[in-house]
Amino acid sequence: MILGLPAMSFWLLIGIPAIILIYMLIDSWRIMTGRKD
Amino acid sequence: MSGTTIGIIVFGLYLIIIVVLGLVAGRYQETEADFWVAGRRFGLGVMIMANMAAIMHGGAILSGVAFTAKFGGVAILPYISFVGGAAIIFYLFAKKLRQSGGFTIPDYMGDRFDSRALRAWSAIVVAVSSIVYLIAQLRGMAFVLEQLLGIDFMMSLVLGTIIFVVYVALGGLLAVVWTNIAQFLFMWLGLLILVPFVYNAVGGWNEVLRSVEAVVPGWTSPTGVSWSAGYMLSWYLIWFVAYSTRLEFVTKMYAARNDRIARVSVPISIGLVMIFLLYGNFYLGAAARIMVWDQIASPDQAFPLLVAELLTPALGALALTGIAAAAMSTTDSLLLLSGSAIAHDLLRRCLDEPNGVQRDEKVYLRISRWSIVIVGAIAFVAAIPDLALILRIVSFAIAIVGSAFFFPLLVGMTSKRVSREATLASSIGGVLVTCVWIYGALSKASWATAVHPGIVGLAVAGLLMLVVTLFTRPVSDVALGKYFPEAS
Repeated sequence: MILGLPAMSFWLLIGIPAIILIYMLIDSWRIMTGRKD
Repeated sequence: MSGTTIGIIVFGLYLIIIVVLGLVAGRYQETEADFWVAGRRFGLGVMIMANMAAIMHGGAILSGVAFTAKFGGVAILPYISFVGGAAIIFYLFAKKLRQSGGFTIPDYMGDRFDSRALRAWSAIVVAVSSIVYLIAQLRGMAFVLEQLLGIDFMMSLVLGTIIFVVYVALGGLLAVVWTNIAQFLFMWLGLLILVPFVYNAVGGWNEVLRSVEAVVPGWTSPTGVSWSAGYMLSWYLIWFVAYSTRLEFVTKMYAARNDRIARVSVPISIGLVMIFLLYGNFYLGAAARIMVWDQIASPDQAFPLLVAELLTPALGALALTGIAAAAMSTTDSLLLLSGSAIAHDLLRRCLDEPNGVQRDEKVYLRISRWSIVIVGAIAFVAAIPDLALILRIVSFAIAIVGSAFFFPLLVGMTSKRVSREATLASSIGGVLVTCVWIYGALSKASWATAVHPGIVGLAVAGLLMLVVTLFTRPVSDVALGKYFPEAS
């Protein structure tokens, strides 16, 4: 159980999407600051 | 003050605000670009709001709570598909679409593959799918107005259609986005009123999950209450395709001030939508399952009854009106999409320009506005009879749009090799097979009910694109230059 959800559910609903999203947000920061084209 | 009176006041206020916004936005319209892509003036904040409004479909809360309560929260909310679709738009589509300087997806199809046939075909798919969806939305809206204002169905339909047509025809995308922001604020107001009451009744996150799992074992599992693993996977796949080809969302990329803003707006919007749905669908869906599930005849009543149980009549009317107001925000985007397919893609790009006809921008602006009026009139007439079939077709609309555009966008943005003929075969073949499969599913044929029409359509579309590309040649470097600058 993580956050009240079965582990598999947690990773599907929150964990993996959050990791992908954070990765995109970091790239967004790099785009805005001109470090990524 | 009674609930109905509060409903009428809040809804009246909402209608006045959106019509005024439409009138003001109308003053900014000089050219076709002002109308369809708001002059490409949107900064990051407006883009995020516009994207969120585009992603959250009509009944995001009402049907979201109903389905989450019924099937289970993790199964029904394919967050991986949402971020997967967003990642495709972020990394592959947004920059190239914005830099291409087009207005619509048919613009992309016509320019990238140097084909008038593809442009016309895409415009027809966009126009037909949007109008069918629009008919369902207008009927839904008329039912809401009927209940809120106490007038008959026909009057509600006339009133609702006129309001939408007037502000969209006057203000184009600018009016749509401004009013979407207003609708969003109303929706938040409606949802935030609920927070302390739901918390008192069912407790916080962990407590709700424990209670719902005790009442309905499996509610928090990946496959939910009643799905098989195979069904869950196809559901996730369909939503992944639907999100990466969501026309209202992808088309917004054209309206950003520059390609950086277009790209950066994507993950921020999708992240906010996910947080929003975690409360607005997951938590409230679980609460509805615990509190009101035994008392309702159909899942659609879950949210209204939850509100009725928790709030006083006056506050309940305020919350429901806010949600109903926001549920209408899809209607204007659909009017705009189908109007642009007819006025910009078919008339200007397919008929006028190839035949050397030149018209003033003012004329095109007038044509654009009339196209909105005509689409509104068609949808209005079609919404009068109770066509149950339309509502059933709508539930498959994402499959048609996905099989028409997913591979042309994905492969067309990443490979120079894919040919015009392959894209035509893929898009037309995919849509035809999807339609046959939808017909099968609607008539309950055994061969069609096992797999979702979208999966079959996509498989055929992908296969046709691959096979036909092997035997045909890529488009010229001149046409490629817009999307692959290094090729020209």
